[in-house]
Amino acid sequence: MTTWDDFTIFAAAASALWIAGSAVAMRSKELSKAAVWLTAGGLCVYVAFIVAFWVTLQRPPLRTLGETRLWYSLFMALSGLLTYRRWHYRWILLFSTIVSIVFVAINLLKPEIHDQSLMPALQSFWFVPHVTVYMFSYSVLGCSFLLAVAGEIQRTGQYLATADRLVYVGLAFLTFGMLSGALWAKEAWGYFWNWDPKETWAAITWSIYLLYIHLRLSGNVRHRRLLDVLLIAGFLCMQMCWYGVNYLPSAQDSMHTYGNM
Amino acid sequence: MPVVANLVKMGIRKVFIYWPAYFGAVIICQLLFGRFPTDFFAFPVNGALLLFAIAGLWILYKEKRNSWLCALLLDRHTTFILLSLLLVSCFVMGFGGDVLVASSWWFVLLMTALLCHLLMVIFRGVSMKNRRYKWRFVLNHIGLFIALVGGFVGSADTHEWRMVVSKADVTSVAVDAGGRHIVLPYELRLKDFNIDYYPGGMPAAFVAGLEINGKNVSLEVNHPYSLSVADNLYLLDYEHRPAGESPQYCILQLVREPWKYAQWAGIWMMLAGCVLLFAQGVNARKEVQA
Repeated sequence: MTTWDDFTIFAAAASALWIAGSAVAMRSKELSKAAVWLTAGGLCVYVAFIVAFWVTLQRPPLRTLGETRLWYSLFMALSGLLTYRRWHYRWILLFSTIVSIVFVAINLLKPEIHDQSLMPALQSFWFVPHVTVYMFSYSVLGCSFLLAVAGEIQRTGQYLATADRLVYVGLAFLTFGMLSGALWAKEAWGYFWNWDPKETWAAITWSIYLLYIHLRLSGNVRHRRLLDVLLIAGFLCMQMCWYGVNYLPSAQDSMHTYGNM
Repeated sequence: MPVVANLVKMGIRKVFIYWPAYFGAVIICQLLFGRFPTDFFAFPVNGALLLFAIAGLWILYKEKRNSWLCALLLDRHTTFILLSLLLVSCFVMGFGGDVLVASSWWFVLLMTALLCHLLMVIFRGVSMKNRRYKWRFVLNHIGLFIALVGGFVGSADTHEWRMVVSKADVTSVAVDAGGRHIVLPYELRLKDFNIDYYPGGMPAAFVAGLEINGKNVSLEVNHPYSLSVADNLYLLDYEHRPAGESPQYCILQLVREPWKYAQWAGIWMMLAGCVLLFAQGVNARKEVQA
């Protein structure tokens, strides 16, 4: 029997390993094997809880908001680890660890929300990949926004190369999130794409990063200001897409409004 | 600096003459004719036009490489202009400007230009022998082209109806958005309707037990039933009664979308493409020698 009561121990152990992993990564210039193993160890502990919980429940833990938050943390830590392995950004593990731990902490500090239920429209295979992948892309593209702001303040193009890397990773996840959403929308609402306000803003965000990449492919930093503006605008439109649309009058008819999500 | 080889150079000035001329004509069409006559382009007209356009652009690419049209459709500024216009159009829609939605001359001809440009870029990309990241390019660009064609060209053949299916009677009647009734070749009846509730009283799951042409089908949200190659049936709503009482009817949505397979294939190609985008990362700078 594994229940939410056992989560504290598993979560503490996993978080400790993740924090240790990101600390080691921050301190080493090259790819640190120790950081990879520590983070992977944390993931194993965390997955062990999910598997045990799944067995106890006799259904996948995907129904309540608390249960979906379990997966956010898992995917976040996993994506951070994969990105670190691939590109050796020393800060990425710290970043993914913080986001993971925030979600773990919400589950620990607000036990009452464990019983909050998931309405039938959200009970889908696509729910977890769609939402978690989007969350990850939002966080990566958020970093590129910070670099663009720094570049504008210091009037330099030196951050653009790093911004490129982040935009490629972020756009890959953003595209994955959007397309998984399209596949889900076909199952839930009948159409892959219907120009729902949230979809329209997703298209805006996506086009901005496409424009950025294609401008960069033409290969110069002459347009530094334009590129920075695109990164900043992309981030702002992403906020609009994520929660801003809920405040638009047109969103009252949106299929994406699920109340206090 | 990385410049895609084989780049046809048109000169920025000409690009900024041709495209404004094109979109000026589009705006005149919009003002003169109003709504785009989508119905006229129902199959086989859309299919024929699509084949015609693909063949025509292929000939243009192969035989008339030095023509102004080929240069215009392959110029990198065309990418920036069309993407920016798409962006602006989406902005207007994003703030509730439904004027631009799908069935306007503006949007249709913008998408047409975008698809032509995309196709020419694909022709050039696949013809390059030593192109780096070729698979990524192919999956993302061809996937996007196929998905857009399925959604955009296919929209003329897409239809939607609502049906009220009750326990009392067998029905074949569906109503479209304009209130017109049609009789479908399906006979439907609601046999039973089960709702599970969360402790708070919110529905946790509901299932409609239907009889369709004598066959038992259970229909749930997120799990449509495929009536035929083109038709999908969705559970939309049900009669809301006090807890414990079973609804006597439910509302179904029937979506006919024969081009959905193209969209589906394009989406999966792009999903594979964005995995490669993640795995391969940034275009290395000194690349692409043709």
